[in-house]
Amino acid sequence: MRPLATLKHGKRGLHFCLFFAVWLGIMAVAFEWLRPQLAGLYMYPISYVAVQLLNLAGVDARLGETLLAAGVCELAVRDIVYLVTFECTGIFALFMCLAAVLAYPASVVHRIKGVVLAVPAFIVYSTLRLLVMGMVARFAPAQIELFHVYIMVLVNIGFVLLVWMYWLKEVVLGARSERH
Amino acid sequence: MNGPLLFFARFVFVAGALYGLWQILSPLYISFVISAANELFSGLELPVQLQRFGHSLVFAYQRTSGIMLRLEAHQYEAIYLNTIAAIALLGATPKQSLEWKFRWICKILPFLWATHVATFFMGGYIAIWDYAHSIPPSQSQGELIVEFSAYFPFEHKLWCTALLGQWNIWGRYAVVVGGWFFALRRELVGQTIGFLQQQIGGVHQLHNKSLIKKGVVPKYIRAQRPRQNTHVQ
Repeated sequence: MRPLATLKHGKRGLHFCLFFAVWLGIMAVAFEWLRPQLAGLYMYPISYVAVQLLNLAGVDARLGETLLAAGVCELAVRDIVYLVTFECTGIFALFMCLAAVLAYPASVVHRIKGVVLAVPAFIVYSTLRLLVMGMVARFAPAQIELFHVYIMVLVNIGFVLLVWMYWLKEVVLGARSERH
Repeated sequence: MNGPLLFFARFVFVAGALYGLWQILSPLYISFVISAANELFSGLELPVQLQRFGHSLVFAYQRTSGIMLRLEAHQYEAIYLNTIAAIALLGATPKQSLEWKFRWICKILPFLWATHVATFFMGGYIAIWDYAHSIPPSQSQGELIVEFSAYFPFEHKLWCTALLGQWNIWGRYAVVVGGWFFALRRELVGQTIGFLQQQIGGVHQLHNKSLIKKGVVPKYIRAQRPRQNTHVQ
């Protein structure tokens, strides 16, 4: 025996999970469609800023853009060329966060606020992520696989939920709290 | 920010602690995955088996001449790393009992295991064709293609590559986050409704016309008019 409200929350929760999957599907299609544009508008600027920060930090890094049309940047650190792909920029984590924001049963204004919050947060995060990878490539190249395959992937998930929970707490619940 | 940051810190801590444990448990886990994938290969009478040599994992293809063709799977640990993410997420979830966490870990692990078996199984279709296309055109390449295309049709390799490509990008970690949302679906959505009930002063107020007009009560809450405190039998 469960209270009716709990059952309704469960149903709404199921809708949320379903819409999360649907939004991810929409984003997967949109990503394939917008891949060249995203390479120029998201990947290259992030990689460029990360390389400038690496140079400021005293790491000799160079960025190549000859493969940008194919969705790849070349990042040279200590004469070793690393290929920066979309996975390295954390763009799929951003899409996951956006899907969670858009799927959550909140008002349109709150969802727009969520998107406006998530995009710059992920741009900063992705730049720092590349900066960290560049530092690892410079100072501990043997650990690059550990960082690339393990640590950064887990941090991605943590950051997705950090941004999403912050939005839920401060924007969705916070706004309602202020009104009363 | 405290709550989300605390959750993030707890998640990173649990994931870090699990990494050490995973180094010990990983060989055991992969042996479960390999044995299931090999059962599938045998059941479908495909001439390939997964074998482990220390840290290396190879697809061993049995040629008609009796020679084994061994192709190494690179970075295969990444395939089942989402297990750690799932356990760490559930482990770091606040306000849930240990029993709840254990129950959901037991629910999600078999699902993830099935996806890992499927990934390695599809890998069997992909590896042989990638190898065949990587060697220079010659008689031996032709023989290899003729010999294995009966078991591993090229069309199957194409859709396996497409499916795994999308899964690796979109599915592998989204399924972990989606699974976490699913486990917490009542709490995540319910907290908003519960919060409103608490702030506005009761379920009946959610249908107060002046509050609706002012936009205090959002549309999705209004849609579910409760029937007093009825209990479902």
